Amino acid sequence: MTLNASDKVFLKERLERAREIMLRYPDSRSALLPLLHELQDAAGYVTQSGMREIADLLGITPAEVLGTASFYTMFKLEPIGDHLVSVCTSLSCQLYGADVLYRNLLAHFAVANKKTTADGVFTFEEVECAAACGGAPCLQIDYKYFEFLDPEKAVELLEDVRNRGLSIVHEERGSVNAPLPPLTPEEVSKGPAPVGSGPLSETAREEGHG
Amino acid sequence: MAELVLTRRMLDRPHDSWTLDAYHEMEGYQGLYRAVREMTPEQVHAEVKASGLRGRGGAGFPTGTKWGFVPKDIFPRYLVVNGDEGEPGTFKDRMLMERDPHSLVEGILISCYALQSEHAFIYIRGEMGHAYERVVRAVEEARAVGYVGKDIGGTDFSCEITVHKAAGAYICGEETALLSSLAGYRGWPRLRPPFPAVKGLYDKPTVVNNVETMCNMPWITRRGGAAYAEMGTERSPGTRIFCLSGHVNRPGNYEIELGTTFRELFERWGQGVRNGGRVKAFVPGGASAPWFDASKLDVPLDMDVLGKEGSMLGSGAVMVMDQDADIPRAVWRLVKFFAHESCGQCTPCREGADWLEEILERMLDGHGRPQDLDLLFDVCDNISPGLNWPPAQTTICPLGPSATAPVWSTIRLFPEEYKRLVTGAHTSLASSAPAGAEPAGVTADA
Repeated sequence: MTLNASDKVFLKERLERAREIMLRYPDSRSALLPLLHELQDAAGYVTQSGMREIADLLGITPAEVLGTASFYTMFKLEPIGDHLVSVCTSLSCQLYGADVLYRNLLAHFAVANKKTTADGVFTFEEVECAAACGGAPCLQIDYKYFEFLDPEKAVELLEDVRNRGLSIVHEERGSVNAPLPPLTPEEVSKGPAPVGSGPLSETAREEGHG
Repeated sequence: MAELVLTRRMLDRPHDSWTLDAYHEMEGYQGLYRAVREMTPEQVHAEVKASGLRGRGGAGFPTGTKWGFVPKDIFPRYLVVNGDEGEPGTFKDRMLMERDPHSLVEGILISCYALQSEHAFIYIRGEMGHAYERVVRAVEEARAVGYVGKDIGGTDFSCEITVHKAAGAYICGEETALLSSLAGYRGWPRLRPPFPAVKGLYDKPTVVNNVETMCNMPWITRRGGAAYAEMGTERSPGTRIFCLSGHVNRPGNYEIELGTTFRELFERWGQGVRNGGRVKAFVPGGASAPWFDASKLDVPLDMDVLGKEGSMLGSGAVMVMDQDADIPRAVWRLVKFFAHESCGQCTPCREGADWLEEILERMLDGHGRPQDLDLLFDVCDNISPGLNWPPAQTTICPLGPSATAPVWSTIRLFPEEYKRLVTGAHTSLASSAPAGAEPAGVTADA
């Protein structure tokens, strides 16, 4: 199905940008994922009409676009809240109580996994390893990292984001340069802690917040 | 100890290591100029071979040998860099892309020169927004001063770099799945051969290398392969970033010489087990690796030794669990990961991983049956016959067999933890007890 120009809500103002993305690749089909990202950034989710526009542009069928988009967890096929909260519960985070943290968050905001709060601010999802295991437990808000959490801190963090907005809270409390800075050889040479009688307490983790 | 190849810059310049100015002040792009101005592509390739560098993505295949599989006379050929880091416990490539993106860009340019490729792609995990932005910025900075583009360094070598944002699918870290995804399709692995080196992206010869692998190239080109080979062990040369997490006092990414023992990693770098505890179990090389108990603490971090010990160094992710860790619960979480990430093409993996997850979940929920351990072994055996390592495979890619490794390795190491689940006295998944708490009904030292 060919779309009329007037139907092209997504690409109307982005055609030049879309063509620039296509030119990065020897085969324009490679632009499919980047274009879906553009669509999601613009519309908040991957819309049916937007997928038809992308199909039209790339010369593939809408079914091929949907069939590809639905394979990837980042592409949301339905509207989500203002912020996407992705809580890692994978092993390294689980060892620091991430499952309790997540249950507590859902209870506090009275919402279920993969659902949006009544005020439309947060959509929650449980995710696989977010690659911040040195700062476990961690979560991402709109893919920005927050580490070294606990159940209370996580609730308070989200309330803070709801009140003051994500960018300011991330600047103050988020991980800009993650993960934990590596221990230097000089620090290491201060002396080992034998496995079985580690002298350091939890404070090492507190201090390590980078 | 050995010189730091990969993390020196971010330690020396913690506030701007990712900028071109800082990188220039730390020998930045000297390796590239040395390569394109003073060496032939064959000479660069020879240095990489001499370094003995083995791929840092998981399989540990010698990089120079992999490059040698590209047919001599077929052009164009592509370099694709795998930045789809998602193996649970692994967080080193994100650090490299965020803090040292120019070493990645320089490594790519050097590698493209050696491979005679004029177009490289960096496939970055979509959830790593910050890493993506830093790498895009680094490529732009490098392009602005002529490192990327036409006639690099006044030579006739030209190279384009495209940064590609992925969209959330662990399986795309498998190289054939990654190439499908990069071409704009579902991330489905395919059978090899043909190997990507012969028929890869757009059916052209393609080398797929890991981010950390690439970041070694500037050093190897500046200092020579022989100097690199002097570090580490004979068959696992160099340094490597280990992602240490779990119950240690100081989790983090540590660049250390291969050949160091796990005990030393936990004691010196990890600063011991939290609360003065002891190691009960550890995952030596990512979620796909068979587990070890404390009897393996003195095994060296060496790819071949790990293989002989029945596991692998894999992606460099080491996860430590102390005496209070609930082993079946931890294993269930990894199995859940594999069940979620199965691409669905092969029945043994798609159905088997789900079965493993459901059986373990039922056991942890208090409905374990005496025959469940046999059932777990049976399901594992259907996915990976024989339950050995390296695993036999009934599937296109290794994801299915990987799902079984935590299960059978821990039932063998910690049978009493599983037997507890089939006799009734244990914690429940739905309880509010934090992971690692003493299971209900079992009183310590009673």
